[in-house]
Amino acid sequence: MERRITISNIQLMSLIAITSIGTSSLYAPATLARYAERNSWFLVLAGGAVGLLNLYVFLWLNRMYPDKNLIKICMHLLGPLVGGIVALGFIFYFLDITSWVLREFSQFFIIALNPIIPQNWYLIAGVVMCLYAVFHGLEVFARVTEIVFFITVATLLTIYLLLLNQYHPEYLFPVLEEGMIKPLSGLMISTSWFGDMMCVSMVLQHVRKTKRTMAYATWAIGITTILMLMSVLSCTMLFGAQTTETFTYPIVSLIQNIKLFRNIERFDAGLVAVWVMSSFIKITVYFWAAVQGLKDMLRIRKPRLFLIPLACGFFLCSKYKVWGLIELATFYDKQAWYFVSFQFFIPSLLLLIALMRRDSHKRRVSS
Amino acid sequence: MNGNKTVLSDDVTENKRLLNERMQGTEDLVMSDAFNGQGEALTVCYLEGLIDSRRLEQTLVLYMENKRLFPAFRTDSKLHSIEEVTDCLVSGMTVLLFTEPAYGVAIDTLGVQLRNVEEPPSEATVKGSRSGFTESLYNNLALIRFQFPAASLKVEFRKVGYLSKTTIAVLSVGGITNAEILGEVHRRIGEISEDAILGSNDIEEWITDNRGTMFPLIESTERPDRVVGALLDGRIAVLVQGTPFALLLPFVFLQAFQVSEDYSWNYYIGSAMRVLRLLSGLIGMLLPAFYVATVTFHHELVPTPLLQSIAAAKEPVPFPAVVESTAMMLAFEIMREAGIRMPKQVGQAVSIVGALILGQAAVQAGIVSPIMVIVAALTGICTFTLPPTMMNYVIRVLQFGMTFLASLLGYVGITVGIIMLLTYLASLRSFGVPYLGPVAPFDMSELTDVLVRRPSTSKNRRPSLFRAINLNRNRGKTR
Repeated sequence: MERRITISNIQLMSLIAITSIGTSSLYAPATLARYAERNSWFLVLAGGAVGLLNLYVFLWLNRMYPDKNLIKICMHLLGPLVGGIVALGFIFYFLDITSWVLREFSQFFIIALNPIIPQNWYLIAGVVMCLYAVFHGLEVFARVTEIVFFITVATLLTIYLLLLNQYHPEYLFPVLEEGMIKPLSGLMISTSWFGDMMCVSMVLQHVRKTKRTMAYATWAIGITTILMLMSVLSCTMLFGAQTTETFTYPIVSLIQNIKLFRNIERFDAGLVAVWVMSSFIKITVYFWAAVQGLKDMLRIRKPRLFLIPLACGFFLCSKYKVWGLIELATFYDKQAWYFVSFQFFIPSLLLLIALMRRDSHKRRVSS
Repeated sequence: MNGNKTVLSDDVTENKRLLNERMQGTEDLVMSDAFNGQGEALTVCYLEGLIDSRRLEQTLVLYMENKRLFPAFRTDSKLHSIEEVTDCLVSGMTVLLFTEPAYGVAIDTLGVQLRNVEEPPSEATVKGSRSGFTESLYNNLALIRFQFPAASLKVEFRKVGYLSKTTIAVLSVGGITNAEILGEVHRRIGEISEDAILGSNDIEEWITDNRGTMFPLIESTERPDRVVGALLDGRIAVLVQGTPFALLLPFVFLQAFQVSEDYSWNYYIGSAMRVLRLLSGLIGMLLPAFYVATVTFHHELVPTPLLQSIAAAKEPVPFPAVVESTAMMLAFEIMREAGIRMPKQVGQAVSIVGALILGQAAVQAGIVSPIMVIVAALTGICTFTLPPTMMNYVIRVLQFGMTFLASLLGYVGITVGIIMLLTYLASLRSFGVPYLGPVAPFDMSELTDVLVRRPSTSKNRRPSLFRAINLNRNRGKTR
């Protein structure tokens, strides 16, 4: 009998926030500016609203089946065959996301930090680090997430704060000159970033529930939205929308504008720390979710034996997935529906089916 | 009761023979026959040198006069077997053997030359209590009782080691200490199956949660005031006969940065010193790694004037930064170890060799850069700010690992190292208490209590970290 794994509300909040902002806030301003120019903040708000909805879908599903994760809910609702296929789809998605983020993780260093070290080294470091955390299990990396959350939030806030005297608020005007509908063309991609918190579907059953769980989860989306908003706003106010669009990682350029006491500049090291830590959490939680899903689906007794083969698989997949950042970014941009469908559409469908079945069950009971 | 014990016989010579046989014919065993005032025959047995002969004489004279053994009685029950007698003899008692009926009486006459109470060398303070533990368990208990004369302080004795039968004492405070943790301590002590316990570290290794870690999961201290403070926080102390170190448990990572002197200074100063120690712990672990990463990979992140001076200093050095740094740190460690092991009379030689040859001459010869010497010196000094009984050796070891990672992947390597370290620390527990608490799992009020030294007047709650039962410190009054 396994000991029951529990994590706290704050840990849940940190997990949600880090998986959604940690990595995306670094390049979000550029992508969003492509769709909505100086009104990208609006896109963030809209994405945040959808993200909140998305979160409630998972919370609702969890309330209906408090001791089941997404994979088990699938199998329970749709039967072993159809449910099995959908569950396999989810597991594939978890595996896929893991290798995407891993590639993203290594790509950042090659482009923004240091092209001398070969990519393989970064990939291996990333895989080993996450493998180690998954080996120790959810409780342990949830605790690390708390620390990472504070470091990330503090670093990002410091960056935006240090640039305070360089902002040009007039770059934001005119506000929404083309109405509120047109900027929404980028909603899909904005939603897909917020949807990265879908890993909670596997985590929620382990949260020690209190009255405030809901509030903490909502706050997590709130914090995510605020930080994302700050990143978008400060980029727009510093560079203007058109320049922001041309950067690969606008926040790197942002940080290079910081100058303290004349000579102290280049705080990139802080950014490296944030990037490594948040990518670590994101990769780990999806890796863990995949292992957990496989364990429930295939009734594996010793999931730890599968960790090393899976990790090798991630390394190879990430290495040969795309040939470079441009392809990676294009996929994120153009194929956002792929992410959103697993993050939002299919879970919503599941919720709908669950609600209908409950209604019909109630009717049967009452009649 | 005495299953396989040899019962004392009525024959004096037979008793002597049995005793001699049991004690392997040891030659420091004294057995002399005597008569008391009533004309009863008795045998006085003791181990020569282990007893205080003046004390024995006084007791015996009193006994002969009054046939009463009132002073210095530890065992008031009579001894009936050879094994009981030998157990008493080896722990420094004198045994009087009587015949018809055959029984023995033990008198405590232990007289061993022990150190006096001195200032603890490993945890010296500028301000605050100066007494430290000695090797005598009962003396140490007395020091604790002297500082904390409360009826609720409970001492439980256990004997461990099937040959040495070392006495250990488990200290807890009724109404504060969590009974579950106390029970767990007793359970783990019961599992000890070593033949002889020679020091508190033996106990530590047996009862720790994770035997494969180099991080201390149990604190050890030489200071009675620290033990009392820990007991009041709901922690448990284990004292071992023959060791001047008390074990305190549970122990969390951040406590390694606290010393009891924090409570002797003004609370602003105390808090500042705590933060300073945390900072120097970080510097001690990461500075060489940062230097190596910066010099090897990230030149662009250094302000240009500084970069120029680093480059100029490093120019004559033929080695990569990682070799230079590892060599310097290794040299530092060797000097530190030599400084401890060397007789005091030749101690000066180490400092001369260290300062002149390894520092100045090495730089002039172009073997290391002056900046590396500064880095190594600062790193070494930083690790010395932590109490040596706890974390600073661990930090020195980690230093090398971090430098290695930095030489492979630069800043990314350092961050990867930190994350893996955090993951590892998060997976540790000390008697069920998460090792990284109160940071993770996060608890704001506990965290401020660990990082900041609160004023005594506003310290009205005990930390809940150690699952103390009664969290309220000042009875009745809440402010």
